[in-house]
Formats: sequence, C-alpha cells, structure tokens
Amino acid sequence: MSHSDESPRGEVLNKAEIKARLRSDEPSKKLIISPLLSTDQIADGAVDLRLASEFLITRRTAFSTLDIALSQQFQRNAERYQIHTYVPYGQKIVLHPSELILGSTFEYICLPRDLFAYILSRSCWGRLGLVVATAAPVNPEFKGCLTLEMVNLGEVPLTLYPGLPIAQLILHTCMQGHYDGAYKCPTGPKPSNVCSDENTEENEFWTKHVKYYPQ
Amino acid sequence: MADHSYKLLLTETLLRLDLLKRKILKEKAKDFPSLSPLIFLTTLLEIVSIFKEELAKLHRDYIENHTVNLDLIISFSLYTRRLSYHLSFVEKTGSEHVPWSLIPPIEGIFRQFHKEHKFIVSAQPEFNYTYMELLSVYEELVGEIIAPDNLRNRLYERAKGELTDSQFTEAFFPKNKFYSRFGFIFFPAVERNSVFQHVLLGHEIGYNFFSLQNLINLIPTNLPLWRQKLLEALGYTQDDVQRDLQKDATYREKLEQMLGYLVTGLIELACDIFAVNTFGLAALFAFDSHLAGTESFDKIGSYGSKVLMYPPGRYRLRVICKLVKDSGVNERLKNQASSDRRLVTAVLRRLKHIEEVVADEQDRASIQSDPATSVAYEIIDSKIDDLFNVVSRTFPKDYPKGLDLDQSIVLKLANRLKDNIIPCEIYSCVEENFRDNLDINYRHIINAGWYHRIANIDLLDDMQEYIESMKIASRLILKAIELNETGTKWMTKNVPQ
Repeated sequence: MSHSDESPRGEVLNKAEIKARLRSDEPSKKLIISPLLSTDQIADGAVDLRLASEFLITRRTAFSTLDIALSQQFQRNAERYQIHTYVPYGQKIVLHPSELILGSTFEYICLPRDLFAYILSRSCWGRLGLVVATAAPVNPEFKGCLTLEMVNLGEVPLTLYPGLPIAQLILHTCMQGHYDGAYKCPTGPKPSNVCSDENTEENEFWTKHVKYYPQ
Repeated sequence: MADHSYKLLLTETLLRLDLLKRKILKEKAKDFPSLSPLIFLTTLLEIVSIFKEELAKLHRDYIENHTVNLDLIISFSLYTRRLSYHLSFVEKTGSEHVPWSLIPPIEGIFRQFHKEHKFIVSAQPEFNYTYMELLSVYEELVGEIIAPDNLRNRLYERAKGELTDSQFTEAFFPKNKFYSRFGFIFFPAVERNSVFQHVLLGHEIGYNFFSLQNLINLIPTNLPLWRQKLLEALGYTQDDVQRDLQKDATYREKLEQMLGYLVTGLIELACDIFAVNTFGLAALFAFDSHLAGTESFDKIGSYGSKVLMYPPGRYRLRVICKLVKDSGVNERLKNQASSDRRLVTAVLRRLKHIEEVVADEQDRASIQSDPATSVAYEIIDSKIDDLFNVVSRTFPKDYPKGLDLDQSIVLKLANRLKDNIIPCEIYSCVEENFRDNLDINYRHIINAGWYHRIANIDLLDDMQEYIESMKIASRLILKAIELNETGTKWMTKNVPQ
C-alpha cells in the first residue's frame, strides 16, 4: 500500500524530502514552516526553529500548590503563577538555573496529515543545560507556534535572545492522523489547560470520586 | 503666616515628587513595544529631579536668608500636579495593554512624515488623539531657572544614557537634539486583540497632519457670499439683522456654528481620507462597521454621548467611498486570477453594499435641518476633490498608498488565512521567488484579514463558529505583522539580491 511518495511510513524525513514537502502544492502533503528565514535551518532529519518574543514567566508565589482538585483555586493560582511578557528582538531574557519559562517558536507550523513531529533542544544549547520541551510530540495536522517549556538544567544563568535557533523539529512520516487538541492555532506560549472544561470529568473522577478503600 | 504656608506647601510638594518618582520608576520597569514611552517617562523623571533640586535651593535660601518666595513654591506645586496628570498618559502603554506587534509599523507611518516625532499608543475607553509638546509646559516654569537649550541638552543626555547604542540609533533624535513632541493615540482597551478595528488608528494619526492651519486654503475667502447664504437659510435680510437685536444675535451664533461645522467637517474628513490612503480598503470596511454602530450615522452634531460637530457617519462613508471608486481598485480586483474568485466576489459585493448605503441620502435631512450646517456642508461638498488632493500631497512620493496595494498579494495572504495559515509571507525559503516576500508589509496583511472576514460572513448562521474564526484570524494577523517586520529586517541583511 502506498502511503507516501517520498519515504516509507515511520521514517525520518531527510533534507531533500523536507524541501519537497515545503514546495509541495498538494494540501495533503504540504508542510508549512512560516517564516523559515533560511534554507540553512533545514538539515537531514530536522529543521531548526527560532525563539519568539513572547514569554510566560513563572514567579514565586505565596500559594502552597497547584492542585487540580481545587479547580477554581487552580485557575486563579495559575494566573498568579505565570506572567505574560514580551521581549523585543535585540533584547534578552535570562533563564536562571532550574527556572521554567514558557516561550514559543518564531515559526508557525502546519503539519500535513501524514507527518508527525518531535520538538527537541538543539544540541549546542542542550549542552549548556537548556531543555526546550518536556511535551515533545506534535500531532499531524497541528497548526500553530509550538510552546517551548524551557528549563535551565545548568548551574549558571543562560541569556537567550528572541530569534535565535534553539530548538529542532524532527519530522516523521506516519499513518494519517488528525489534530483535535485544545490548542487551536496558537501564536504564542499557551498556559496549561489541565483544568479546562474538557478535562473536568477526568480530573473530578481521580481527585474526588474514586475510592480505594471499600465503603 | 507666609512661613507656615511655605513649609506646608514645600513638604507637600516634595512628598508628591517622591511618590511621583517612585511611580515613574515602576512604570519604567514595564515592557513597551516602542522606545517612546520610555523616553517620555525618562523626561518626566528628569523634570522631577529638576523640581527637587530647585526646591532644595529655595529651602537653602529660606534657612540662610529667611526669604520666602511663596509664589514660586505655589507654581512648583501646581506643575507637580501636572506631572502626575502627564504620567497618566503612559500608564496603559505597556505591551500588556496594546497590540504591540502593530506599534512599530504604525510608528513607521509617523516617521515617514516627521522623523523627530515620538508616538505613543495607549489603551483608553475609546478612540482619540492628542499631541503634547511636553517641554513647553514645563519650560514656562523651569525655563526661567534653566535656559531652555540647557534643559533640552540635559534631557537629551539623560535619554541617551537610558538607551543602548543600538536603540539610540533607532530613537528619534535626528539632529542630536531633544524633541519633545509626543503624539498620543488612544484606542479602546477592550479591542486590544481584535485587529480589525485597529486601522481606525489611521484616522487618529491623521489629526497630527490636518488642522485648521493645514486646511486653511479650503476655507472660502469670499465671506460676504457665504454670509448672505446663511442669512437666506435663516430667512433673514441684511436689514433684519441690522434692526432686530434678537435676529442679529441668532445670526451671529449661527455664523460661529457654521464656521465650527465647516472646520470640524474638513478636519474629520481629511483624517478619514488619510486613513484610507494609508490602510486601503481595510479602512473603508472598518469605518463601515464602526460608523454603522454609532448614533450619529445620519445625524450631525453628536457622536455617541458627546455633542461634537462631526459629519454624519453616512456622509463620511460617502466621501471615502468616492475616494475608493476614484482609485480604480474595484477594476484591479475584478482583473485578479480566477483562483481568488471567492474572495474577489465577496469583497466586490461588500463594496457594492457600501455604495448602496451611501446612495441613500438620509443624512442630508439632518444637514438641511439647520441653517448653519446646510451652508457649511454646501462649502464642504464643493471641496471634496480639493481635500483628496491636499491629503494626497501629504504622503511622500515613494510611499505607496493603501488603495494602490498589490491586490494579488493581499488575496494570496487572505487565502492563507482561510486555511488558518499565518499570513506573513507567500513564498517559502526553498522557492526561487522567496525574496518577493519583501514586497509584503503589515498593510497587505491587515487588508487580507478584512477580505477573509468579509468572505467568511456567510458563516454567520453559525455565530460561534464565525466568532471563533475571527478570533483565530485576529491572532494570526497580529503575529504575522510581527513575523513579517522581523523577517523583512533579516532578509534585507542576509538574503542576496
């Protein structure tokens, strides 16, 4: 059964295949990474992605925990926990050891239905202790700027500049899939939706209704 | 008695200056989408320092010589209050309050015309414009103590010290001088994330260029003729006003009103024309949706809850509709590729609808109902083409007008929006014509947004779906403007011709 003109299912796309996908006029095959400023960003198996200028910065707060069992408190505390900020190009942001900051990719990604992706740190930044994603998979048909969950695992603060390529996107072919997630066409970092309406039933069962001991 | 008042006022003013300094420093810590608010705050901070220094000198005089200059202290007290008022202008200019990606390109519009102008967008309850020659306010007081040139040098050095080298070259000190003219543009805070109405900022920007002084040539010089017309509209003769005091008073009042309606009408229309010349069809569509929702669509002399001498909304729409028609943009749209037919049909249908709206002359009844407005608008009617020319001449020759935008680019960007793809470019870097992306700017992107919105209006049966699609489009457009601006800078430097 034929599933892809360029590569067998499950294989990582090489440089030529990524370029072919970017050039494709066929909507079901077309990969969009916009704006991709340079072909130098395309390597065998990966595309380098840049850091955008919007951030959600975590801050120390007085509340004791973020607990999904207390959903209303959770919403309010989550708002207090993360501050939205914008760092213009040419300015810098400092990521301190063990600090978590949400950023996003400069590029807006549109995956066709037969491509699956992972986002990872570029190794040159990873070796300095920077992790850019803890939730790495990107589903087929996802559209948007990817949120980067950036943590500095090193011992010294790292200075980051919007625009720098700090992440890489690994692209695989896959069975035809579809994105039906909660994050629709994001253009900047999105906070967690763990307490959103869609998750209410699940959260309530595991935090309130389930009983381990027999009644 | 003077001693007591002196001490009370001095301490009160110093306390206020301390609080003000703290507040300014707090404001300065915010993120701003432009350097202008930072320069404004730095200027205020320096004026606070100067006030404190001068008050300290006065107090030394008091201790050493027991001389009390109460009037001067009162002046410092009054001007300190004014500083607080001026601070309130920048309290909602941080990135969290304004559509920040749009600020640099809009600032670019200003700098096309006046390089030294600083320009600040602020979130307020509604659209408005004001400009401030900040220093002239304080020079009245400080100028007696510090020579104005020295004051400007001091502020220039302070502002320079505030900025990094790379920022400084971008800041607006073209002749290494401190210019303190700030243009403030206010937009409704609630619409921060809704890009569609932001083109109305073009009208507010227009106020910077069109005042009575700029439009004076459009005011008729043959006043006797227009006086006579007003008398006729009032049903009076020359003799009536010479003999009857009541009629004379009415005539004088109406004459003053007539001039008010004339000048306000010309300025408002010039600003509308400026907005359409800047933003193109997007401005026409934004005016259409904005004006239709105001109480003054067919009424003259009111605007929302305010009593102003603005032209009726329908009249304004009619004038810019004529500008659009004269530009030939309809024909250029009709000639676009068949692949864009869905969008073209929707946009042309919308234009036709607006033409039908302005063909109805209900607003004329309101204009004719008052002698002052009927005469003022007789003059305005005869000056519309002159207004087009005056506004057109304001634009630098090499600045493409909004109605001349390449429609094929706008349509391609709008097609991307249809598929929820960010409209920041039309070619990928692996394509040969990648460099053609340099032809795209924020104005193409905003127009694409409006085309997309108009083409999707059929979704209105499913209201929620339509609103969701508009929210996504707004988000994509604001982001696209940021990426396009940044990408253009990168390409200009890195991609060979």
